[in-house]
Amino acid sequence: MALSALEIYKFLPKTNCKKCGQPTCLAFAMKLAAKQIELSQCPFLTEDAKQKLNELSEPPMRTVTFGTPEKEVKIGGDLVLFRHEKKFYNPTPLGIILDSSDEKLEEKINYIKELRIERVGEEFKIDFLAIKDSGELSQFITAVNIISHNGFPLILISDSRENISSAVRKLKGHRPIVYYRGEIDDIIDFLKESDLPFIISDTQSQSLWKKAEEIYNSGFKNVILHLESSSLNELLKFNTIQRRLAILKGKRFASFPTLILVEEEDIFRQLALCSLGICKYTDVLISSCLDKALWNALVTLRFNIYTDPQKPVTVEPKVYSIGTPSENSPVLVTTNFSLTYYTVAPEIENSKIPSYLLVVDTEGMSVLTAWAADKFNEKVISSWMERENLKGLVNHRRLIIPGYVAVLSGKLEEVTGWEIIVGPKEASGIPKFLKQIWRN
Amino acid sequence: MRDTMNDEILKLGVQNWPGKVYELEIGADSQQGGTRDKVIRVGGQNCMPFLHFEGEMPNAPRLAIEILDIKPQEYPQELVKAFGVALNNPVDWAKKCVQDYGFDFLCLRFIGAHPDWGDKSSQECARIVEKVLKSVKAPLIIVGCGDPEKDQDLLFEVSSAAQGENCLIGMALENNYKSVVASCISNGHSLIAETPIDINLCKQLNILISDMGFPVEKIVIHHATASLGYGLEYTYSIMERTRLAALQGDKLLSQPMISFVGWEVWKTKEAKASEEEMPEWGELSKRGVFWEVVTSIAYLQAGVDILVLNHPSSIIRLQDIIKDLMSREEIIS
Repeated sequence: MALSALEIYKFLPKTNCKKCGQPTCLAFAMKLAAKQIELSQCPFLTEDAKQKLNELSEPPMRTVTFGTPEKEVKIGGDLVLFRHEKKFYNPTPLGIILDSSDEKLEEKINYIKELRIERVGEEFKIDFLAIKDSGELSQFITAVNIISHNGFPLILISDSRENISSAVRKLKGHRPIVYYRGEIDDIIDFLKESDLPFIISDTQSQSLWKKAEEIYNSGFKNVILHLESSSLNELLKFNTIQRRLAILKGKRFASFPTLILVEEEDIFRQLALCSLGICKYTDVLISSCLDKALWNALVTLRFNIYTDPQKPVTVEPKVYSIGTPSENSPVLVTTNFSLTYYTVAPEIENSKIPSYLLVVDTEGMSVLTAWAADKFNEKVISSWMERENLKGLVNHRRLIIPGYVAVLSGKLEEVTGWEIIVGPKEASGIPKFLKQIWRN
Repeated sequence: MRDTMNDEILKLGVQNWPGKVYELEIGADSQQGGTRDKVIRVGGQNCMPFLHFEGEMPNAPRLAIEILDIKPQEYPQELVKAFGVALNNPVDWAKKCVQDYGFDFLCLRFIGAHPDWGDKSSQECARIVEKVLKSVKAPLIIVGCGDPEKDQDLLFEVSSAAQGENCLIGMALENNYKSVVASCISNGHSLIAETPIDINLCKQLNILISDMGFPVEKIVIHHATASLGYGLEYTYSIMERTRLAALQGDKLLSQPMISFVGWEVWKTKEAKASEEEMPEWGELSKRGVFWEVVTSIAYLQAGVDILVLNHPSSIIRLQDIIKDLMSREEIIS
């Protein structure tokens, strides 16, 4: 959190000794608040004051990173409780858990590699894999090798300290997350030495917070909390309190990101836990499910929830092909407000008549608003028709405009020379309308 | 296993809210002069969704199944499978929902009255309402055809046909609310006020409606529903903001909220495109239901009180999910 000069001043010796090069302690505090001087310039700070100032200047939620030499994945780092307040950072990485004794391990990895979901021109894939050690070291190492060769960032899950340290040695240059399934004290030296991010867990939220506080006080920063529960209610409660403590109360032990591990047999329990986690503060998600339909839904939900609400809500102005249109297909025109686009495009799709949709730049305004603001008029439309070379795209000269701007048809016909057809006012009328007028 | 440090932690994480969502009843039973076999209650909470540790959530969010007055052409295959021939008649469709699936809350939507969809007369729609009311005893939501002009007359006729049954009638829009409000006042119904994802317009419409003498606590807010993948984030955030405003004490935004998830989801490509066309999307038989369930889970977190869905499996699955979310295991005694 950014600190004000007065907040910093409270922790200073207030002796105005000038050893830091500043005339007074308050001047030093102002420089520090503006990040123009280092805290270490003050020789008389107590250890306690140093620690407090360091803590206070940290962001409310830590960002933990892991990954391969080629691919870094970020977890956490959020600043708000609700996405409309600013935005949610670092979209929850989605991963799949595999067992090192699984005979079909390679087959599954190849399948997961092919899980690709495209949304509005962006491609999403599974972000990482978690490998659960069956206890057999050679199997575990083989699995880790296959996964890392396939380029996936890794979470190592094992109850053997030796197996974890062997796997980490094999993964030179990688930064896996360590999930040790025994008493954390048994492996704490290794974690300190390797400086890898690690997961601590408990079945009770209260005990988990207690552990988190101890771990934080021992100086660990790259920690992820896992509440081992399959209750939606428990998960929501834990995640909400954790996020509030971090953001509203500045509690440092609550600054650690949270993880869910979903191994439910029932696919709807999978959907429920994962969807809740994506909406409500889960920072990293592991599921045992391989179902394509499930991942398509979850990736889409994450895409929606993590969209930046401050960005103008527009789609790129251009000609969109819906279905596989030809030179005889209808051409419709609308504005680049993204909700307008997302309402119109599926209805054209529903008509089953392949079409071109010309989206003109109205600075993100909807049809009526843009018309009223004179941003959706005959000049704008005709210039986009030329820019996108509609004449070259289709053989006919007929353009369908939204019913709400029927008044434009006369002028638009004059300016473009095209026949203007007035479409329905509501997008829901498009399928029937298109079927009626585009019989050929 | 509780100690002082942890009690303090939990107390720090609790937020207290001055406001409360209005509680609304839908359906009139014999005691209330109607013929419904139960009364459905929604709203009444004074906390963000399912945070039982800091407030009361006396009523679980409710799920209604949507029935259309006509079977649309090219109706999604999965919905045809679920209802079969019952789709050809709204009364059979309603009966199947209640008798076969055991659902207790119905939404009747009159798309067939739309000028573009057959322009069925308002009187004919009123007769369907009468028949449905006779055949099934579940409380009803009644939604017009979506054409603001036609709906004025249509909603008058259907709300007269359901007089005294305390239905939830929609949509009252900025440009037709006067006649819708008048119909609801004279026939004793609650109404759905719809505005296009804008919190100020929403509040303004609620003011206009209450200025006509309609009780604000009998309004249900509809912010326009978006499906997962098609603008869900706008609806999600506007609902979250509305609920936060209610809890902060804004009485003109303290109404329960409704989402027509099924209606939007089954228009999407995800719910309909074949596996040959979209192999990377997985099995078609799962997609539509998954889409309804995930969209609904998101809106439940944003504060929705009534979800209207189209597939029976979605309702059955969401009932379990809501049950888990409603379990009240107190963490602060």
